[in-house]
Amino acid sequence: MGLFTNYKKQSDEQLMILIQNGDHRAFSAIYDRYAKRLKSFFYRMLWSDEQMAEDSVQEVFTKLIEKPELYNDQYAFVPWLFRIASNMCKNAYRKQQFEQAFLAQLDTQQVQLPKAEQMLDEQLLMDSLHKTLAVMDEDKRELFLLRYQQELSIKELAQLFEISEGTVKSRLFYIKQQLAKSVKEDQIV
Amino acid sequence: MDKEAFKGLEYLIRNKTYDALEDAERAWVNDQIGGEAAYMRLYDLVRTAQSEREMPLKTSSKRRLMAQFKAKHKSTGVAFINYRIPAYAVIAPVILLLVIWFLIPAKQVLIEKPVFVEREVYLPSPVQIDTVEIELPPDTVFLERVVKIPVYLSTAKEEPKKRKRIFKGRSLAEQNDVVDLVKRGR
Repeated sequence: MGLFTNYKKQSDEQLMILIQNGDHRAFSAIYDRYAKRLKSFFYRMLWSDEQMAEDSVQEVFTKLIEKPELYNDQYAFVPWLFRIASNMCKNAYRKQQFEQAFLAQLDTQQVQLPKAEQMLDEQLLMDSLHKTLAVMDEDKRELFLLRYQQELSIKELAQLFEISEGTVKSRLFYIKQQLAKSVKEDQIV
Repeated sequence: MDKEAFKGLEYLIRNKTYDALEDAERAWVNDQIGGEAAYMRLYDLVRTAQSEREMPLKTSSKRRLMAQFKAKHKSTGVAFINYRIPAYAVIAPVILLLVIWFLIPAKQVLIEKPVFVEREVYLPSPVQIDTVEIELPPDTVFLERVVKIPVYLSTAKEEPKKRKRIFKGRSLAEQNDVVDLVKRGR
């Protein structure tokens, strides 16, 4: 790529090809475009934990450095990138489930937990979005955030989850109905 | 769920508060999601999600990643080797070279040499020959030889030799007498 190439004007797919060829300026451009968005996505997906979100962003881009050849330039970049992020969240959930099971086991054995760990959930700032996302299933939370936080199109979401566009729409509609229903239930309570 | 319902709800939630809805829209929203509170909750959630599309990162994160990237692609030579080009871009020139090599006839190199041909020539008779040129080998041969003689050069100045004078301060006649005396003993 020439010295005076305007990387800001290049498409994500073009930048990825340049990254595959070892162009560090292309990597910098991709980072500037998506790092902040990824952090926000991870933040909400991973229990509003900022440090975990930051680490996850680092991990995504490390993967991009180590194995850029995994990207196929025939496909759109955004769904591919968020699929990596989504898989990482799933791994984090699995890990958390394992940890919770372990903690529960310790609890039954009446082992005293460190105070900091006991207070972990209480320390979180429980804003309305956090509360809502916390009660949602992982898949729905992910879909909601990708659609309304990251503004991915229906087509991109269909590519990301490898489902039809109609299925994406019906899932989103169902999420909204479910959220509305939860409001009604809260009111009743 | 029909297509219109999805589009309609998406549009309204993204653009209008419950108060801004028209009567028909309000009735439809009430029917679909059940009232103002539910609608406004959805509206707020979507607004909140939209407002936090990006979160700032530590500057050290990028620095670390850039260093990692540069370390991986350290040598420009390696980057050049890794440069991806389509297979046809490699195969096409090779095929082209082969075609040129085999199909185009090689240009013949002509070396001009005088060729002597013996041929009998019949001349009309009578033939008068007044001059005959005979080529003979040279009777004198000059040989040139280069003889190399080493000449030693010195930068030191030679002092003129002083003539030994046996009999200093005497005349030639006296000197002869002395010589006779020595020779004859007289």
